Amino acid sequence: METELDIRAVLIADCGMEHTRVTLVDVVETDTYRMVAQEEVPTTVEPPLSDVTIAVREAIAALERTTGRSLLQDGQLRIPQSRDGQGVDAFVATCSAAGSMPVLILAVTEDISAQSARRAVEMLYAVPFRTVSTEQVLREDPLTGGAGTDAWWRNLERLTGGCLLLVGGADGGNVNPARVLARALAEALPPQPARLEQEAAEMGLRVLYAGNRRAREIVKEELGNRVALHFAENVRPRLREEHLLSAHEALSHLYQDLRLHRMAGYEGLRAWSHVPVQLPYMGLQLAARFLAAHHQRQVLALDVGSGATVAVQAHGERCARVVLGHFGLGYGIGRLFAERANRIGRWLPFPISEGDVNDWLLNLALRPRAKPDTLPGLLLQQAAAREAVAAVRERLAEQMPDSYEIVVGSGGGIVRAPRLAQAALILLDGLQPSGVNPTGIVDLYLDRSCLLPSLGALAMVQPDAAACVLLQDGLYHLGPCIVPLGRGKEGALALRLEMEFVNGMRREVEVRWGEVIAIPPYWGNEVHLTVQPARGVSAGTGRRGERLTTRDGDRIRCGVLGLIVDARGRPLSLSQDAAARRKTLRQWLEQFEAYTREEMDSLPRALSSQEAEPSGEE
Amino acid sequence: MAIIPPTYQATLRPLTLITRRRELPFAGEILVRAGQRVEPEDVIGRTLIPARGQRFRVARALGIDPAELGRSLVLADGSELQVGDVVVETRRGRPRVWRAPIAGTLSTVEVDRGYLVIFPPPELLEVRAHFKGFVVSVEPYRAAVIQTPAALVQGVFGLGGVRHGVMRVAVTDPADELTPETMDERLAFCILIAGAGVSAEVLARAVELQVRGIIVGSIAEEALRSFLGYGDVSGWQVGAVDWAFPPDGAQRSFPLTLIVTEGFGHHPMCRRTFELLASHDGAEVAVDGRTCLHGPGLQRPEVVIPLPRANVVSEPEESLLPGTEVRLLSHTMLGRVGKIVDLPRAARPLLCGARARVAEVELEDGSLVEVPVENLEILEAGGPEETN
Repeated sequence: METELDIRAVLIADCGMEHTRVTLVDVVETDTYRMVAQEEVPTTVEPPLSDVTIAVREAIAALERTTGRSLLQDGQLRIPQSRDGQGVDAFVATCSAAGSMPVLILAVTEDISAQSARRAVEMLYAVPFRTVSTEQVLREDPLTGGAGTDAWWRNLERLTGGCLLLVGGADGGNVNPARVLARALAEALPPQPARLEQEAAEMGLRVLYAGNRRAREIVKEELGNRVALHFAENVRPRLREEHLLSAHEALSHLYQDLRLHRMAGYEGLRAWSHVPVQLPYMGLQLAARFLAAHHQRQVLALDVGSGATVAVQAHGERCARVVLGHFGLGYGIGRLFAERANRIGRWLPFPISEGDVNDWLLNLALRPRAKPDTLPGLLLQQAAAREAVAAVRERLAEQMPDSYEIVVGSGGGIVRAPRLAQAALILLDGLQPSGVNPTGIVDLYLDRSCLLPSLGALAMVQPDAAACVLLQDGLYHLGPCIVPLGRGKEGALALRLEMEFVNGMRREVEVRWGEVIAIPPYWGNEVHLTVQPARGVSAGTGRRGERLTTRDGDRIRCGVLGLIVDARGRPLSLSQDAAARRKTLRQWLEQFEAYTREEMDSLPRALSSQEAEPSGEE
Repeated sequence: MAIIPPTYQATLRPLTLITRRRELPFAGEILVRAGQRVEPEDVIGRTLIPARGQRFRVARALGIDPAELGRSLVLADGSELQVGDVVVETRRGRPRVWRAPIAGTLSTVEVDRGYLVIFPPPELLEVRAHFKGFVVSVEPYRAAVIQTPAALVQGVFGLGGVRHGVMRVAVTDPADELTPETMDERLAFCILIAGAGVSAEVLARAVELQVRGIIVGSIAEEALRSFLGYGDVSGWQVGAVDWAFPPDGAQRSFPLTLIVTEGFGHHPMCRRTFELLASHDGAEVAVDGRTCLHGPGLQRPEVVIPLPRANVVSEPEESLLPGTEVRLLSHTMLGRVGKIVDLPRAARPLLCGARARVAEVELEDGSLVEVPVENLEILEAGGPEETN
């Protein structure tokens, strides 16, 4: 078996719900690992092909054509790499094509244990699709609000690829609520009809109990052998204490068993890979932690994909992760639409009825691979992306304050924006960063090749390669962003900036309330910056009106967009009046050069029907 | 090498060999044998659907100790019960009785805990052939596979199970919409071709008239939401649990089968689809509205129009090539069809500014458009297709 030192060329496959991306990483002349080439093809996990490895082979064949290297031989990988550079030394894979696992939460109370259970579920590709509390059980309207006793049975039957999470009670506390829940579940279990034996085994319901330890035996007694029962530590051992790790690990095992290992073609992918097939959110977490340690700053990494939206915030040893399974811009548009439909329309700078927005989004749910090919279509998709980012930001704020200094955007929902300014504005609108951190600046980065989620797998075979690729090829610096805090009349001065370039040239810029602008790096990429907020306005952790300067320290690196200033106030306020809101949105999009005036002028000017427009309310 | 993603499957087959599995949900009795000819109404198999047992907290109702309940039973485990039958009679103190509130079979499995369980009688379920054809194979106790030469039209989503009936063209043009005023009793038990769209009123009227199925180009989200009874858009959690469409479709029974060929909104039915369906006006067809959008159970709703025996020639693998007839899938182009004239290898800029691999498509009106290949679907093919 080769050692780490022997591994030079590595193929990384990332099998997503929509696309399969294969990247070739190799040692280049300067003796560092670099990304050599990348190819992307549609994922082939569903019928008629039903084998995830077909797309991997297709992408590798495309890599062979673009690089001129021979990577496959008789349908198998050429391993190890030969002296003439043909083949690779290792193959690794990450996979989210297995989709998300539905989890039905049964909790003693809706507010405490159920919230902890939801957080445990939202650490992996899973959907907490319904929560039922003891109170609801006692009211005898479980699950569907009084749709009849058979509702239980029907909902449990849908859980073939998912599981049930039973939580509640502090350790050592009253066991009766857990008994009530377990009994209600036992009552809801389907009768054992004349099923064939093999089928009955496959239908076995998976139940994870992560509640009061004292009630374990009672749960066992109530549910007996009728379900496959698993145990984890209590998610709420005490009222003010939350332990999610054990439940998360148990859920991860269930995910692997129920989803990943049953995915069409998984065995083939596993056989090729040098290390176990990794989940992309683990790679994103690893990358965020590495960047946080490398830059000694707080990092927020976001991945808005087709089937899931993931956010990881890392600060030193602390790390928080939120995975919104089945919440994305393609295969996950159904949940995004169902949860935030009334908020998506408010981001559109052209008149459109609520009904048309709904029709468009549902058509995307029916055909998740279809691409927006018109300007209104693209704006609708980017509006949905803003809401995906906003949703994950809200969930993450429950665990860590938004004092991040670096934001990295990844995933097709962000990086496929035709212009970098569009991607930056999606991040700014969705996250609404406050910039309240020690530097007062939020640096925006884009993972244009969507490499971050794959780096976890790469790090397992060659950590140096993962670090090199992340720092040299992974990230595209959009620019540092300054956010003045306070309130001012639109058009009033928010702050004054002074930029001093390496060649000694200076430039002063005044930014007014309501503006979001990118100041290009006129005479070089590195500047000394002096920020003078207006009266009553602050920037970063500075006091109101306090002048901040970098003259005594390092210069600030501008990005490809330059220096970004977002003076729209926090939180962003969108007018309830549709015409006024559209005017403001147009102004932002044009000012930030996300879209041109001609593009904005080409948008529809009137509603095609008499329906109501979406409101701007949060 | 061209890849063939699932969306590239043809949705229109004027002549093909259809093979469908008619399956019992539980093991039961299969009533046909291989080689047998079947008619739409013929019962293929039947089984008993066991009803869920209902638990009654009898000890508490009678105010006795759970341990005493077993001693107070007057009927044995497994007894058949009618409503009102005395099941328990207490012997201590003032005698009290507990009568069966429902008919069924008594189970004393939880008597020690103070509960009695009554299993209502099982329901008989029969699975029919739904189209004329031949049984090609039988899986004992479980399923039969039926085959027929047929024309096949697949929709993008639907609701309702397999139904059959006489197909009637209810509009004169694929862009026309069906209205409640034009519907009368003559449409009872029919499958209607409804053109561009239907409203919630049309669906309600169709249910009232006992229409068995509707095939339509599109439907507005609001109309379908109203028909499905969703209070708001939160009902559209497409794919959050399984990939059935509508999201609770697998758990509900619908009074009619709806097949939508293009999507949501107001879009005309693709003219080729309309013409193929209309050419079989008056034929007995089978419609299946069950939809699964993703995963191993991927299923599109379909209309099967059995045809007299004919030689079906298998076609080569389907792929996007110059000359291929395609339908356009982007929201603004739904219902439009055209022919690929070129497939440039390099990505090209789209109207929205993004770059993508496109196909140059000549539309029916002769105009040329560039469409991302992901937004195309092969329109027509004629070979045998896989069993589902």
